[in-house]
Amino acid sequence: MTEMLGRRPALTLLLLIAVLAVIPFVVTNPYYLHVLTIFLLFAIFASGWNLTLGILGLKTLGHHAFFALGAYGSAMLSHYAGVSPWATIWVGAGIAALAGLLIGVPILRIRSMPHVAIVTLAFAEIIRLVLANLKDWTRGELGFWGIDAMPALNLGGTVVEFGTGKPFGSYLLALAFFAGVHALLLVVLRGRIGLTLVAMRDSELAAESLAVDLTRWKLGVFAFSAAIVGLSGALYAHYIQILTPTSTVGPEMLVTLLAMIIVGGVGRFTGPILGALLLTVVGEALREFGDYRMLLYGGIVMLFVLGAPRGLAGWLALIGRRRAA
Amino acid sequence: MLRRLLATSALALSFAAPLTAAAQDIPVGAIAPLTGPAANSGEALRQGFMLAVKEWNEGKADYVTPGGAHPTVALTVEDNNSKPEVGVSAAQRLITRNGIKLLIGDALHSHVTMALMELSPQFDLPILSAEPVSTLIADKVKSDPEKYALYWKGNYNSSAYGETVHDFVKWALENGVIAEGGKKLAFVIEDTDYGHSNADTITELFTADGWTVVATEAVPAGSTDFYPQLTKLKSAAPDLTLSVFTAVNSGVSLVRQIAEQAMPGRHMAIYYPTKPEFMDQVGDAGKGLIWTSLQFAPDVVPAHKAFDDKIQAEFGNPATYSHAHGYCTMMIGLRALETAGGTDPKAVSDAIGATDYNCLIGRFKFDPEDHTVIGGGEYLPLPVAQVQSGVNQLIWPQANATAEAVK
Repeated sequence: MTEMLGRRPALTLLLLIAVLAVIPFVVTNPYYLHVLTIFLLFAIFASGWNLTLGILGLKTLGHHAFFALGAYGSAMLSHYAGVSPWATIWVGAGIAALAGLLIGVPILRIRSMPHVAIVTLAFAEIIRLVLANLKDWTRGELGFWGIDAMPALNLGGTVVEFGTGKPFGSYLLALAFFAGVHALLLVVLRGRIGLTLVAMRDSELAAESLAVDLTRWKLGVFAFSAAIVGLSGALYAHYIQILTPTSTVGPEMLVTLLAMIIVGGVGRFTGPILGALLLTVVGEALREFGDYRMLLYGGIVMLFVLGAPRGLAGWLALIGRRRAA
Repeated sequence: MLRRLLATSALALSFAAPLTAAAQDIPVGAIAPLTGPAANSGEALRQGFMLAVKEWNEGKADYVTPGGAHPTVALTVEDNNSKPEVGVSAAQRLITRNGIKLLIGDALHSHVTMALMELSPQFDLPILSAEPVSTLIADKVKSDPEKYALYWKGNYNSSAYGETVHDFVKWALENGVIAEGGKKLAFVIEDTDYGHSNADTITELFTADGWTVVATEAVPAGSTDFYPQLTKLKSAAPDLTLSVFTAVNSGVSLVRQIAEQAMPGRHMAIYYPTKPEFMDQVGDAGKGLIWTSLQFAPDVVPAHKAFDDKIQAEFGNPATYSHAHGYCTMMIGLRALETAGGTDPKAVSDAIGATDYNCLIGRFKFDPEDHTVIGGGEYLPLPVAQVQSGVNQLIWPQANATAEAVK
């Protein structure tokens, strides 16, 4: 459990949220706030995926499909039915959870992890093709636009606006969801559920012998994980306000998010957060290097994978242990 | 851990120190796909932008007032990786760090442009896109003219391509260049906004004339294996097959495989033969291929040859249509800055809207209703070409033809 959550996870999360909460009042540059907003949204996505990929140990490669389902579900409901995005983001998460349940059923019958990876990858491709071909509704690769931003909030006389070009409000909104999702994950993982998941990952047979209903647990976790990823997709949709199947469920999204989890630390609570922060911020910082940007980006990912195979979170934990010893 | 985390973030953000430019230069930004599958076109557009700025700053450009004072500019080009959120990041970086007064963006992608447009009212910034053609962008402007008052679209709508294909086919049928047969139409397109927007418009126009679409095969951008699609098409026996690709390797593969398979009916290509490497790679398979639009032809147009020489001298590679479009779009922006006599966003935007400028590839004039460059006719022409004896010849409109169409 300590390896998964790290030492004093609640304090770490609290401090991180406190630092992130101060940032928009210190950093007013909209560019920095936009980059950090994207980090927060991708951190939610990565943490949701890490639940099945790292903590439960199911090698799924199709979670970007849940991101797209959450994004399109929320965007289309608000656009066509006129429902407030404050409500539709939850519907988007619900659609993703439902899809998680549906894809979870056949996955549970597959013991071979490479086959799980292929089935989930194929599922994502099916979702991409469906979104691309339902042109009357999604406009396919032409792009689904006209997505409403999250409606403004009046907080004690101060109107906080959201959406592209509204960096202050968008950042705070993303931070609120980041804090909420990670606090919920921490509560879930620190208790019996977390122990059960680790037991299942380490040995399904042993867990089953302790009366753990593998099917029920896996389905539940898969749906929960899909719901979190779907929620991040819904928030992304109402922030960027344009969706295409390729940009939401294309192979680049898969690789980017997978890299975040691996670089941050698979199966560790803080891993996806650190990976999302590092790769989002570094990806932008490397703009200074012009044409060499993506080359350096790939080099950094390789460096972390080879030099810190347990991820950034594992590497930091190791340093902490060495200092304590 | 937190200290290290903050240190990592601070280190990364420290890379983002502001760039300095000469105080008198007006900062101008551009966004293009410089990495990823569309990097080839993105790089060509960047080179076009850079050449325009170089000539402008060196006093060698086509100024609104020749001999008069003109502002000099500092150009920064950023990558969007073909993703809307990365494009938005790049734009905000240009706005806040470089303090740009004009954004040329997106250079290529319609979906990135639709995200960038949202920044225009927020930052009071004139934005001019270059190559994007999607009619949806124009629809978006029309849906809220006040909000998108500072945005302008530097290319015609995708409907212009459709109209060109439609009008050409009508002429070709009348002149026996294409056999009418059973009026069966098929598409092989890349699965992008560009591919679909063209196919949709063409479908609408042709079905109104009694044609039937027997197949629409959309494949991922960059695909090179078309045997499954061609097998299906062969059984449908279309009288006319239209292909739309931005990646030249896809186009070359398709044309070669169509020749190998001896596909029935006529094949007409959209966009990809504009790339100079197409002719080098396609070989005999390209013989007689009809395509649109030959807007940049160094072999037959002296002005294009001169531009090609300049690109060769500056960057060591041949010029393409994207180079020329990038050059012209940037020139429109620079001329607007000159006309505005400063950087007031509304004045710059108004000057872009009032543009009536004959550039390399045609006459640029904007429709005030949808802020889009007018295509066809006396404006940006969309001529049809045919590969004859290994050379591209203009075959339509007949007034500008350099050779007769071969049946």
